[in-house]
Amino acid sequence: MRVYLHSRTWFIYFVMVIVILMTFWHPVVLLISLESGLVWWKILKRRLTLGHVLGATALLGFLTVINPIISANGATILFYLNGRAYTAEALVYGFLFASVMVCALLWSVILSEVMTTDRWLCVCGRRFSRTGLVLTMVFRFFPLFSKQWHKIREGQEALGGTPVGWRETFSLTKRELLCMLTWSLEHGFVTADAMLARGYGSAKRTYFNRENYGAASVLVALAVIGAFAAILTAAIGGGMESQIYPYVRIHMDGAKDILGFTAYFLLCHLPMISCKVLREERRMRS
Amino acid sequence: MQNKMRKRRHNIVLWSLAFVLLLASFFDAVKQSGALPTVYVWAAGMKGTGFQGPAQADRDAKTARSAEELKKRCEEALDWKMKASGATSAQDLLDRMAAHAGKSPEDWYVLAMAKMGLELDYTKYANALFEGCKDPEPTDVEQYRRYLVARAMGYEDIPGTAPEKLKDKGIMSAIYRGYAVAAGRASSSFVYGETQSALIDLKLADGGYALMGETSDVDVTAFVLQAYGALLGAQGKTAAGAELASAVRDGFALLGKRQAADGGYASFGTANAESGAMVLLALASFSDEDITAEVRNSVHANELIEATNRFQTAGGGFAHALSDGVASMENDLATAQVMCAYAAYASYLKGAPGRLYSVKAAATPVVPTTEKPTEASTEETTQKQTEASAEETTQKQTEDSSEETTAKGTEVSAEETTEETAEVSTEEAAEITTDGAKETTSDTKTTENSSADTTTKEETIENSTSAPTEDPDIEKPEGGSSTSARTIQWIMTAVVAGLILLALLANLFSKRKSKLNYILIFAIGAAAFVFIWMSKITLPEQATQKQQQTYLERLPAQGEFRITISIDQRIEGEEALLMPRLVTVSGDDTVFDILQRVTTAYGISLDYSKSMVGTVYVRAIGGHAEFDRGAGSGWVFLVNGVPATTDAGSVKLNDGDVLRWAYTLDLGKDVSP
Repeated sequence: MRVYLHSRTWFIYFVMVIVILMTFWHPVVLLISLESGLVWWKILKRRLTLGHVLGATALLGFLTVINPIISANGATILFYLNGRAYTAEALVYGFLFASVMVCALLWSVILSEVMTTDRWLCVCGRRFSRTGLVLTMVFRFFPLFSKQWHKIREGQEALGGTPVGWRETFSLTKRELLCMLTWSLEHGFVTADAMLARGYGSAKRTYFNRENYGAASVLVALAVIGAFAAILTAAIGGGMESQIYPYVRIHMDGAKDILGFTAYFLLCHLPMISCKVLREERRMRS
Repeated sequence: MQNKMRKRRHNIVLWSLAFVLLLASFFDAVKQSGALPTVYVWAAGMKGTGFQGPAQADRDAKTARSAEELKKRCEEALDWKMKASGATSAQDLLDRMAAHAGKSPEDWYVLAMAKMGLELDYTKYANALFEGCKDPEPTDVEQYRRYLVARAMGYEDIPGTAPEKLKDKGIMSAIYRGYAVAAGRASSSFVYGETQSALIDLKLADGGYALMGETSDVDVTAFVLQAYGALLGAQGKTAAGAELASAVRDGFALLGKRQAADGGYASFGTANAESGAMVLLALASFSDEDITAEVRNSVHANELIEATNRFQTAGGGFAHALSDGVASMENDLATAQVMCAYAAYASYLKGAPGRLYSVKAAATPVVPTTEKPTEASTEETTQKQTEASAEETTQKQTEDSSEETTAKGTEVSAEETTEETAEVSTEEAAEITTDGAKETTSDTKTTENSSADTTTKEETIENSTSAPTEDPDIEKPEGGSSTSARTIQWIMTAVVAGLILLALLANLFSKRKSKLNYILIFAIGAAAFVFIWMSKITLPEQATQKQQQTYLERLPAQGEFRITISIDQRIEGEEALLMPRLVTVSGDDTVFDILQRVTTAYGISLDYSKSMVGTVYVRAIGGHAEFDRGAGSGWVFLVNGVPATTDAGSVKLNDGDVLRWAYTLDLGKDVSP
C-alpha cells in the first residue's frame, strides 16, 4: 500500500514551520529548525559541503557585525563608532537575524524540493485553479528561461568564440538578451495557441487530481495543526519569549516554554516520523 | 569555459550587492561622523575664549580678600583641632577620627576638610564609615548623614539603603533626604517632588521651620534652606522649582528678621556660633543664578561673618557661646560647623558651588570596598603631580614631553599641556557643578580640573608610542588612539580578518571558483579595514566625561542658556532614562543636537535617521524603539509641555525652556502633561 501525504498537508506543514521560524526569534526555535532542516537535507539526498557551512558562517558573522553599524538601538553601549553607539543588543539582533535568514534559506530549498508543480496545482485546487495555473507557469518559467539562456549562450559562443574583455562580454550579453526576449514571446504564443487548440476557455473546465486524503494525510495534518495550536497557546501564555531591545532577555525555562519547544520539535519532525512517507517521497523523486 | 562565464555573472551580482551594502554603510558612517568633531572643536574653542562673564569677574575682584580670610580662619581652626587631638597632620587627624566615623562632630570635620579642598586619603575614614553601615538598626538620619559624607568624600556606591527608599517622617529626615536625593541620582521625579513637597509642607506660617511646635527655629530653617539649595541646583526651573523658589524667599526673609543687631544668630535665647554657621551654609547653598540678589541680601552676610569671627578663640577653634563677651572654651561641634560654613562660603565667593554635600561627577564611580585604592587617594596623587608640574619651567616641560616616553613622563606632560588650557578657564572649571566637594580656592580649582582631565588622559596616552600631541584635550577623544579604543579596533580587525578567511575558504570549497570572487573578498576586506581604522572610536566613559565637563554642566556664556531636559520611557515601575536635568545649550542648538549631546553625556544610546532634506527622526532612545509597544508607539518631544509639531532638527529653544522626550503609545496623544 502506498502511503503518501496529501499536497495540502505538505503545504500546511511548510507554512507552519516557516511562519513560526520567522516570528519567534528564539535561539531554541532556530536550533530546532536548523536540526530538522539538516535532517531533511539528508533525506533529500542533497550534499552538504564544507563550502555551505563556511558560507553560512561568513554570512552570519557579516550580518552580526554590520547590524550595530546600521542600527544603534539597545541599551548597552560598547563604544561609539563615529559618534553612533555600537550596542551589544544590536549585535545579538544581527546574529539572530542572520540565523533566521540561514534557516529560512535552508527551509526554502526543502520547500522547493518537496513542493513540485503538480503539488502546487493540487494545493490551489478547484477554487483557485487559475491562480494555481499562473503559479505553476511562473515556477516553470524561471528554470526554463535559464536553461534556454544557457542553450543560446552555447550557440553564440560556438559561433563567435569566448568573449574577451568586458566590451565583448557586454555585446554578447546584449545579443543573448534580445534572443531571450524574442524566444519568450514566441514561446508565449506557442503556449497560448496550444492551450487554445486544447479548448482552453471554450467551456467550464473540469478539475482532476490524483491525490486523495489517506489516513496518514489527515493524521499528519491534524497533528501539525495541533502542534501549532500548542505553540500558539504557549506563546499567548507568555512562553517562548525572546526580547532583544532594550535588554536581551531570553526565556528558557518554565512549562510553557517546554510545551512550545516540544511542540515545535514535533511539528518539524512530523512527516519524517513515518518511513513509508519518506520512501514514497524518494520513489517519486527517482 | 561557458560554465565559468555564467557563474561569474551570477557571482558579480551577489558580490557587488554586498559591496554596495558595505560602501553605503561606510558613507553613512562617514556622514554621521561629521557631528562629533564639530562638537569637540566647538567645545575646545569655547575653552580658549573663556566663559568668564563680567559679573563673575566683578565679584571675584570684590570678594577675593574675603574668601582668603575665611580660608585662613578655617586653617586656624583645623590647627587647633590637630593640636587638641594630638595629631601631627591633617591626614593623621583624619585617620584618628576614623574611630568615631559616623558620629556627629567627626562627620562635620570630614565635611569641612573635604570642602576646604585638602588633599587627603579618605580611605580609612570611608572604610570605617562603611563598616558602620552594618549596624543592624541605624536611624534614618544616621543613614542619610553617612550617605552624604561619603558622597562629599567622592564615593559613588554607598552600601546600605538607598536614600530615597527611607521614609521617616521627621523634619531632620526630610532635610537629609532632600540633600541625599539631590546629591544622588534620584530614581524618579516622583521622589524629587515628594521630597520637596514633604519639606514645603512643614513650612510654618512665618516662613520658617521648627523641630516641633509653631515657633520657627533658625538652625532648622537654615538647614531646610540648604536642602532647598541642593534640590534647586539639581532640578532647575520647572514648575516645582517656582514653588521651591517662593519657599526659599520666605525662608531667607525669616532669617533676615531673626538676625541680631551685631549680625549674629541666637538659638533658644543664646547667641551661638552654630546657628550663624548654619545660616552661612544656607547662603552658600545657592548660586547667584538660583536666587535673586534681593533674596540673598535679606541676610547680611558680611556682618554675620564678623559676628561669627567673634566666637574664635585665641587657639584658633570656635566656641559655642561667649562668656562675658569673650570666646574662651572651644567646642568641637561649633568649630567643625563654622569650618564647614567658612569653607563653603569661600567656595561660593569664588564662584564654585558652595553646597556642602555637592558631589563628584557620576562619570567616575568608585566602588567602596575594603580595597586600598580609592578615588580620593588617586586624586590626591595626581593633584600633587599637577602642582609639582605647575612649578616647573616651560623648558623643563618640553624636555619632559619629548624625552621621556615612559608612562609617567607622558602623564606629566599631558598634565602640563592641560594646565595651560585650564589656567585660562579657571572660572569655567569652578562652575562645573558636579565637581564640588574639594573646590575651595582658585588654585585647587585649577588643579582639580586638570587632574580630572588627566585621569582621562592617563588612559589615552599610556600605551601610545607616539609623542604626546600639542593639545591632547581636542585630539584624544576623537583620535581613537587610546589604549582601549585601539583594542577595540584590533578586535574588529581580527573579526573581519576571520570573516575574510571564512569567505575565502567557502569559496575554495564551493564548486564555483573564480578569480573575481577572491578579488571581491579582498576588496571588501580592504574597505572594511579602511573603515575600521578611519573610524573614530570613543569609549562610553570618555564620551560621557567629555560631554559633561566641557559642554553640559557649565555656566552659560554669551548666546547660551540653560534648559531642563528629561527623557522618560514611561514604563511603570522602571526609572526614567533621564530625570529632569539642567543643561547648558547654545541658542543655535536644535532639540535634536541637545538630545544627541545629552544622551552621549549620560550613556544613553540613541538611534536616529536623517533625511536628505535635513529632517531628523528619532527611532530609539536607550533601546526603547518605535513600534516596540504598539503601532502608535514611539518617541515624541514636548517643549514646555506643548507637543511638537515639527521634527526635532528644526526646533530651537529659549532660556529656561523645559524639554521633555517621552515615549508615546498612541501617536503622542497620551503624553500631554
